[in-house]
Amino acid sequence: MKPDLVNAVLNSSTELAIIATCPDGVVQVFNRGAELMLGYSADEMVSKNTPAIFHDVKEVEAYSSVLSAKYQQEINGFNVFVFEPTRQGHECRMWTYLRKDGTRLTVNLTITPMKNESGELIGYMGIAQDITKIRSLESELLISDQRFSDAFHSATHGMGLVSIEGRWLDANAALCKIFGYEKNQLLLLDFQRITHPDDLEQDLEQVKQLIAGEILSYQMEKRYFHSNGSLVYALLSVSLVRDLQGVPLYFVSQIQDLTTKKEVELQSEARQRYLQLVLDAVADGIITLDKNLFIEKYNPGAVKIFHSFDDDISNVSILNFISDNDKQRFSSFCVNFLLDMKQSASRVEVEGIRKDFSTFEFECHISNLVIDEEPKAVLVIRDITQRKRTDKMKSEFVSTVSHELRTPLTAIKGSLELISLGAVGDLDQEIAPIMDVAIRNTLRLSCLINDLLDIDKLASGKLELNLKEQRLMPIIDDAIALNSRFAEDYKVHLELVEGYDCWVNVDSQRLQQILTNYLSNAAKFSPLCSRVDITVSAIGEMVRVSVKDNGPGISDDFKSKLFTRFSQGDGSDSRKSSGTGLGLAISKELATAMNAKVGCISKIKHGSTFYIDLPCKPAGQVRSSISHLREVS
Amino acid sequence: MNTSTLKNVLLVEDECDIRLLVTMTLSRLGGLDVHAEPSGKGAISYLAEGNHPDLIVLDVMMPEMDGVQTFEAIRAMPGYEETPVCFLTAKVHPEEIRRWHELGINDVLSKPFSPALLPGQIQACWSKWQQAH
Repeated sequence: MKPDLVNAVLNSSTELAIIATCPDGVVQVFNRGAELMLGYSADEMVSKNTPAIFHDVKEVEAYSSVLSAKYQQEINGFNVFVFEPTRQGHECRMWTYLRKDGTRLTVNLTITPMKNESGELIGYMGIAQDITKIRSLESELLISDQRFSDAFHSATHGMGLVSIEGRWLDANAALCKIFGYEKNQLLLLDFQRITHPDDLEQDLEQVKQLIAGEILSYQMEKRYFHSNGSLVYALLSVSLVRDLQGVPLYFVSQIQDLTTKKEVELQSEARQRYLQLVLDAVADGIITLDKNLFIEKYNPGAVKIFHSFDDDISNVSILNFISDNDKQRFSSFCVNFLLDMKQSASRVEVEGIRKDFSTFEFECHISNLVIDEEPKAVLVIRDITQRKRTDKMKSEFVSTVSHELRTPLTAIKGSLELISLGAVGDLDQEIAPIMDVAIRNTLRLSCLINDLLDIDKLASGKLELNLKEQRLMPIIDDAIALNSRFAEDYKVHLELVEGYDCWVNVDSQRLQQILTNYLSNAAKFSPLCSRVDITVSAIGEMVRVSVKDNGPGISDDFKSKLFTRFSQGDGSDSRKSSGTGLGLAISKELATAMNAKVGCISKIKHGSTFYIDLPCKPAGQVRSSISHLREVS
Repeated sequence: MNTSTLKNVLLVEDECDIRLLVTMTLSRLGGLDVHAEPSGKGAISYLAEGNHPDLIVLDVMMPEMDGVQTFEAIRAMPGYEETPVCFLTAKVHPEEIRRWHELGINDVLSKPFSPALLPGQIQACWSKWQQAH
């Protein structure tokens, strides 16, 4: 090769530093690449000894001791560079070059001995490549690799490396825990094996797209199988690592265990579903209203009651389902309740109207709830048309039966009375008491039937009162006179202790009935030879008629039931009390109808006082009990 | 003023037991002559035959002709425009009683009746009618 050509070749390779020396290390050739790399010109370097100028002395010394130790001989100076090349034909290793400006380079230096045609050593050639940049990249990689590794193993969520085929290549402790495997066990498996079959296809599809480069990563919720067979709900994030040429190397999978979260979700969903089923199954209508009485939510029961099968009734005013007669009343019922929940009634019976304008009666219970600080009303509604019909039938039945019973009873009672009055001949002395038994019991039966008829009329609102403005005292006197005989049977004396003359607006017969009820009760429950005190006195604008006995008194428990139907005190009294248990209930209803109030003050063993308070107009004079008693007798 | 004593009474009552009881009560205890008819029709024909009772006691709830219809039929008969008529009834609705009084019924006696009181009540009705005439 011609020397010019050789020079041209040497100088054209600017990326490589080519330095040739004679066998003792004096620089012969210093090419353009060497000039660029080291900052020295060829003129400066040729004929100088290498490595003195651009090698790190310490580095050379360090390698010198390595070689000296290896070959058990002193190897130093230029020999450090050429010892191995001479022995092995060439040596390639990293060295540090010192540039003229003082900066350091890392180079990959290959040193080869040069020989002539006859095989004699004529020098050495060093070819150096600057690998500073590559080196720093590598060290960065090393560091980041270390960081990745730390993160990988200390991560609290599961991380794994997965081969392109799906084999687990590495897994951190968290991942092993999620799947319930020892790491070595897991690395024998692929992800396909532990994926729920229903989720596998989607996962594999994403893997395919990832490998094809259509997506850079993917995320999905999927189910795995735990080693114990249970399901693991997980959020999976996958990315693909490729080499510099873009060839896929492995997947990095991050797996977050959602099992607990999912279980909570599933439980709450199940509870929700359960509640929904209950709401759907309830025959009663359940409706929530906003504060403007517009329907928010409703169940199928409500739809059924209103016959609004195909309509969405949310955002419709509830008043659209109330007949005109009851709109006002129902509206104020709801509004009052929403405004003042404690004071207002929570139940109402209303006439509803359906889509086809048919009306029906329904019962509505209201309760409140607050959602997001907004007051809502919850209505539970029930169609009571059938119940009303049944009530009416029952009432008619009671009425009919009572009338039917009364007719034959009248005949029996009349016959007995006729006999006992001697209308059909004188009575044998022995027959008289038997006749009394018969008459007393027909009377009792007759009272029972009358009570039943009364309560039925009161319940159905059919009872008509003959209200008349009249003086009170004559009614009291009559009541005492009428019941004195009965009281005497019990050896009880009825005494008017105090009177108060005034005008009352009452049905005298019905007031009489109430007083008779009080007086006969007092007589029945009084001890023998005791007194029942009747007091009439003014209380504000009312007049109170009280009947006080010295009986056993009434327990607090029973007091609350006193004026309700079919209630009678327990038989603690030795005398069996007779009666229907309707008397006080009727008294209360009658009193209410006359704008009066009934009540009872009683203490066990201290007797009872039953009273009725009537609105009155004073007549201006108070009669003393004595003069009045004289009048009566 | 007519001061004659009450003697003849016509009772109209569809139920035979009650008819018997009232008859016995008024005759045995009240000392009256009682003629009993089981229906309004029977009563009309009895009167049409020329019988002229001092006082008539009418049951209200009767089949075919009820008390009110019977009463109106009697009043329409010549010679019976003034005869006192008492209703004996289980119906004691105040509104109805008021209506009956407006119709011209002289008295309303309630069922079940008390044999001890009934003769006195009938007598009272008779006295009231006599005072008014």
